[in-house]
Amino acid sequence: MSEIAKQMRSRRQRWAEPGSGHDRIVAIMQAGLPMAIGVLAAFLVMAPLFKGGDVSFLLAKDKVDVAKERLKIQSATYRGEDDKGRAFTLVAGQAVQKSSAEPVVRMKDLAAQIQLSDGPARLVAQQGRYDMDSQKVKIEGPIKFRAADGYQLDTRDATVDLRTRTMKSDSPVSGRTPLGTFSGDELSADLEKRIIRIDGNAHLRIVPKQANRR
Amino acid sequence: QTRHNTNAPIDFSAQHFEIQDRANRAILSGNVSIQQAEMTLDAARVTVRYTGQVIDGSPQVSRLDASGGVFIKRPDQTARAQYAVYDLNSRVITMLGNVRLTQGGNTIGGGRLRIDLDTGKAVIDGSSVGSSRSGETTTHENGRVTGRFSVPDRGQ
Repeated sequence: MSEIAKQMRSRRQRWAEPGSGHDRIVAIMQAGLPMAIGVLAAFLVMAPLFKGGDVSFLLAKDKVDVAKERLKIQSATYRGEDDKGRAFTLVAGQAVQKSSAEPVVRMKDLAAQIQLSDGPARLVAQQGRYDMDSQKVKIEGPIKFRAADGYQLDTRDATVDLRTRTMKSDSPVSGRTPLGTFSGDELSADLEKRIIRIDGNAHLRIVPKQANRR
Repeated sequence: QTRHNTNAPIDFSAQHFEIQDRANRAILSGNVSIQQAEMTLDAARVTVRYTGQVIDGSPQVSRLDASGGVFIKRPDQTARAQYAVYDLNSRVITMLGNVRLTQGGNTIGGGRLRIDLDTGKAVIDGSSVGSSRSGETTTHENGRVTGRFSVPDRGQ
């Protein structure tokens, strides 16, 4: 065999002899590896307990988005009873209560359903403020009142007292009833007895139906 | 005398008024002034009675009762009295209580006046018998009709 072949074989023989470098490596590995596995396992078991520190974060109170109003309801329903013990419901597209101190709820496109002696009646408005204690709705903007038998009262900016089923407005008001259109400084209407009282340069315009004679 | 259109819209203005839908009437008070077509009616208190189904549209106003210094003005006629009843169905105005009618320079006084709005004919008679609506009865006056006519001078 050639010189190199002999050297190669002797290096490999030296490598394979007992007590050679290779044997030392294997001996170390025989003890080291199981220990490493044990340490790793211990680490994996214990790690979440000790490492909790850097996972949490500080919640900064002022940087959080604070809601302005205390209570915001999307489609709210308020129920109550009028002075005759009949239930009324007040449904609002959106109801916002500023704070728990004041029982006033600002409502958007609200509809009140009240019971009158001759059947249910509906009152529709775009914006209003409902005072839960006095059960009065102060309405800004147009109001439509429809009774069961088709009686209508359209007016604006009035305060509806759901308990006594009356409507009052102290600012100039105008409106329409089946009899005709009216306007005046002050309106006070009793929805039950259907009496509309207008005070202060009151105007009423009646367009009489074409007489059916001739 | 033009024919008065009783179907024209009626405009009321007053200090206060109250629409009592169940009783089918409206009560106006506080120097009420009513305007319909070219006729105006001023009074202290007016009660409007309407009948018919108010549901399907504008109501049929049937009667206006005016009391307290009624003054009616039409294009060439003015009349003054204590009470007036304007009946829209029969298109007649009846006035009671020392009536004074002036028409084209002539003034006529009497107990009761009846104006027919279609023909414009005014009938005055002296009898103002009968109790008025507001409860107290009108005393029977001496039943005379007085008048003052201005005679146009015929030139020569």
